[in-house]
Amino acid sequence: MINTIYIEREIADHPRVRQICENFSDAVTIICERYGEVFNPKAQNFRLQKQRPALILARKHDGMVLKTPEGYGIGANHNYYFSHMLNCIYDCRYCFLQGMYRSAHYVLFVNYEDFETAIVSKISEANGETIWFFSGYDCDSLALEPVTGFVKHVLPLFARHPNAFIELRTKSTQVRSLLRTKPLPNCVVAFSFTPKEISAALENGVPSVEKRIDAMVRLQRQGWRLGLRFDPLIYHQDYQAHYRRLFSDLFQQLDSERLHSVTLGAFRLPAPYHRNILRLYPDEPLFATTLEPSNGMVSYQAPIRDEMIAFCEEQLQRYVTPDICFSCSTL
Amino acid sequence: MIEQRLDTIDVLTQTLKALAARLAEFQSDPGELARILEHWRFTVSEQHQLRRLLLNWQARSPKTVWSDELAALPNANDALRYLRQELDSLPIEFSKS
Repeated sequence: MINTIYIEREIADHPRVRQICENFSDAVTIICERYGEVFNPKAQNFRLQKQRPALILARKHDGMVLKTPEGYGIGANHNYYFSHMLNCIYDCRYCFLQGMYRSAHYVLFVNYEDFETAIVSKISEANGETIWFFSGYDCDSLALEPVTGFVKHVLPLFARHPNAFIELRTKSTQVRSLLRTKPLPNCVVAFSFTPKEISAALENGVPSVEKRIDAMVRLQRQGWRLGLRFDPLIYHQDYQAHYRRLFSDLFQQLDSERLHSVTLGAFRLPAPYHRNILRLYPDEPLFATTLEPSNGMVSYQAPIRDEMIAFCEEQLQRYVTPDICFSCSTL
Repeated sequence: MIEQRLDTIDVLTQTLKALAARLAEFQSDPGELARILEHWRFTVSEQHQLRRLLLNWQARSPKTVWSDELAALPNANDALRYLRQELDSLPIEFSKS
């Protein structure tokens, strides 16, 4: 899976670095000074690199915890995100990361303790008010957990701070470490879904819808709080039938009364990322449809967007109460 | 020293050639661009629009763009409008690549 590992010199002897390198004993290791030397140069092609990404082990120096963009959240006033990893092992064609980063290599920041310090600092600033941390913004929260062990490391912090909530957002089925852990009431494991037809066409490497539902069922049985994320909603010819069936499949197997939250959002990209992605994937049908700019974002035309969100909201109300449904309104 | 590494250099060269071919594949002009450019006179801006429309067409339909109906149009502007309308009428479908 990983053939090349770049390691920042200053963390070359870090215990986590040594352990990860042991897991990939066949990989070539290359020492660098700063991860940006490998990750940031302009003349890179994300699409080509995605065929065989390297792993970069680095130390994050600042900006550990950041405020979420406007409209991103599930009801609380204090919303932050952090990224112990940049990039994702999956290859979803609609993902904004393709347009945001020049490189498809995975960066893992191994100084978890510094993330903890930053999280605790934000919790203190919230003065006891509810505060949310979203961890699956620049990566999938769980997909590489067997390698990184980040979630296992950070959950005890949230056990000590009940007013601080963490969302682990994932498309993976890597739930073994969670199943070995006592469920936390302030941790929500949120699974992203598109209908299986869309997943097969646009979500390369992602476990099937059935396998993900199975992982959710196991977590729910054990008492973990779960979220459902239908973001992005992808418009297509049979979207109503496909989303109707997806919701039916999910709610046949999940206990909807124990769900924490459901969020919806139409496919959208910041305009500069959309430009970059269009250059990378001129042959991709998703970007060959009528998308239009609005407030610095590119998305479906408003009537399509509104119709799709209204349809999905209406369908979801057959299964869940409106108070746990949230629409992402960044347009 | 180079002589001793010829095998490694060869592997690297082949890998780079394969990557270059892949890159050229998805950066190439759409198939029917040249034919349409020969048929009407396009401004530079219209050429960009045409290229984008043909790429979109290629991404969404296996059919060729060129048709008697298109060929009969009097100018570039009408040809672009025709292509836009045809694209808008295509169903949005995704199939596993």
